[in-house]
Amino acid sequence: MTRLISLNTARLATVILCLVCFVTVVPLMAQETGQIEPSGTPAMQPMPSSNIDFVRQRIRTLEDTALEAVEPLPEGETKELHAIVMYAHGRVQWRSGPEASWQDAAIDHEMKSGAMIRTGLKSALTLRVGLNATILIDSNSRVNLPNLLHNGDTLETAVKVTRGQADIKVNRVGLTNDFSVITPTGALAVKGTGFGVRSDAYGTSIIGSRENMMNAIEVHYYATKLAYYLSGGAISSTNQANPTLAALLETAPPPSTNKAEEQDAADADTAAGEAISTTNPINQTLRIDLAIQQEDRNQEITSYIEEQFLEDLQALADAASQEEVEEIIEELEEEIEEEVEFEDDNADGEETYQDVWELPGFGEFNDIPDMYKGEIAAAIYFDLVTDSAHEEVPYPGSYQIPYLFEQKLLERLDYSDPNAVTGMMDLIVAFGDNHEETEGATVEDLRVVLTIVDTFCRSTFAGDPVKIQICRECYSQAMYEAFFDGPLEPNSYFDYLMQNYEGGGQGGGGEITP
Amino acid sequence: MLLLATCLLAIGPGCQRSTVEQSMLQRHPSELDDFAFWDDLASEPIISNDDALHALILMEDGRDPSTDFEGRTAIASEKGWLEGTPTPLNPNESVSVGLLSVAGCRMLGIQGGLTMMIFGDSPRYCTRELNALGILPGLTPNEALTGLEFITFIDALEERDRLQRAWERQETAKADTTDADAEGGTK
Repeated sequence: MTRLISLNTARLATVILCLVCFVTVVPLMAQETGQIEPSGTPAMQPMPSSNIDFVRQRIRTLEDTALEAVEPLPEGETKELHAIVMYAHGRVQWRSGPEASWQDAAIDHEMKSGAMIRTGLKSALTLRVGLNATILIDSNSRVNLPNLLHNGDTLETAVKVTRGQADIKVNRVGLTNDFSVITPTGALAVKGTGFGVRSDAYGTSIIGSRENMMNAIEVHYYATKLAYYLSGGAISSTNQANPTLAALLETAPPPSTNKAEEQDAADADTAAGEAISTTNPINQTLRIDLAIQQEDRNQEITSYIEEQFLEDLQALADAASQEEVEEIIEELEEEIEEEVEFEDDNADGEETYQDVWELPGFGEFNDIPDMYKGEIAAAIYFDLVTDSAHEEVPYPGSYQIPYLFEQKLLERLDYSDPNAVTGMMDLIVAFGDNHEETEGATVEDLRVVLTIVDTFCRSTFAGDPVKIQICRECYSQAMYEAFFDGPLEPNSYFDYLMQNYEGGGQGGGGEITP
Repeated sequence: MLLLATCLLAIGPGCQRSTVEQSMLQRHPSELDDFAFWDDLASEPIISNDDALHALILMEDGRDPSTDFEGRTAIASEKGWLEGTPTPLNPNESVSVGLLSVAGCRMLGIQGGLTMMIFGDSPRYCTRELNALGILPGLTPNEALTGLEFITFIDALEERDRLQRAWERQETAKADTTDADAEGGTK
């Protein structure tokens, strides 16, 4: 018995000793050999003291990889550079040249020299331009990119701000920066700094750039790609699920927390300093003051954004599984909408509606008292039944609503697809055909009909809330024109169709007709 | 008497506001032509009441549901933008800085000084407020604006609005932090 106890004690002591060894000695060995972590940080780097440090270290590693791509070309050799959309908000369009057609901008779109960009109200676009710059184009602006060229050891970039504001950040990446900003009233040359250019009725003005916001957008953009970074060190598109990453790394070497930018911060001019060298001497003093004010204000307001994103990155680095990484990326995407100051309070889908007719665009239906809504649903159905073979519809309709609806879609949205409209109408007819005659038409029936219409609008004009609303308006107005002479004044066609309903004799939820 | 009559005759037409032959909205009636609307507006020598109200409604609400000037006037009136402006307005007449100022004050929620607190928004004092904020630099209530000046005004309003919302968020964040600290201290 005593022997057994001593044996167990010996085993326990061995296990404890092993555990102690594992906890203390192994990390020390790992530190000595540099094999400190499994997620891809190169060997021989010191152990990061915190997760924030880990993220910074990881980004620096990526930066080093990317910077290797920034090498001077042989003299006389040129290479065309690209601009990549990192963030687009609101109504933003671009085209490749004066003759090309405009298209909506989306993340990862790639632009070449000659691209033209326009932004609407409460909209913004952030681009990584060439190898060394980030541009944040503000709302209601018109900006062109006439020149993006890697020429020998020089990065030639020209940005034309025809109207509005563009915040520009130029990094020093080891090549000569030949970055110029052209406005209708002058041209500016940038060596390596950040500033904002505004061109408006009062000429060109230089203001402090919203660098923190650009940094936040950059960090966010890189964070969305981090899953791929974490999954391997390769940057060739053949090894990655997302082929834009290779292009990204080629055009966008250093993210915000890189040493090039730290160098900029250390020795580049401030926005105020930039103002001294580039503005009209008459307005110089005023603009310098404005630049300082703006710089302070921007710093004060947006400094928290970068911190927030660093925290997010930390969480990303902590995430163990791919699912968690994807979840965090989704959260980040939601956050950027909230954090980066351009919320569109009127965005479709954010508000909650009690009923389908309360949706924007269905105003005519919403105005109809509930007790008459059933009759309207019935009339919509009877209007679509043009076949006199339907026994239950002795007074066939003349397909007026679809006709008017198509007409309005063409006029207001330049949309024409009779087959799609007919398909939607067929759904309504199918619903009506399956309706129990004995039940009579109710509010619920109109709800179903309008849901069919709403689904059609949402699927046809997906992603464009304005067009969706106009589509609903087209249908509402088509119904109103087909059935009414004035508010709650049904016309003879409505009365004619209602004879089917009254013929059914089952009664609905009330009658508009006297 | 004759001299006075001559003066009146000379001054009378001079006091009339300029008009445009065709508003930009007549040229770009479709809701999807907004980019063309703004681009052409930038080159206009004068902004009409119709175009100005349309642009302001677009800025405030994101879209302009009205199909005619009466509809836009009704919306503007409902929002209180026409305070102190003689009505009815002529759609093709140049918009006054005063009207734009009142709209700007309403959009930004500017309280103003004692006079505005007592008598409400007026073109005169709203213009002064926006002067002070740098949104309408050096302009007076009866002046008209060129297209580019008007767009600059809209951009300035948007910038200010963005700034105010950022300040509000910052204040909220500070208040939340203070509350959290206080709770932590209590515990």
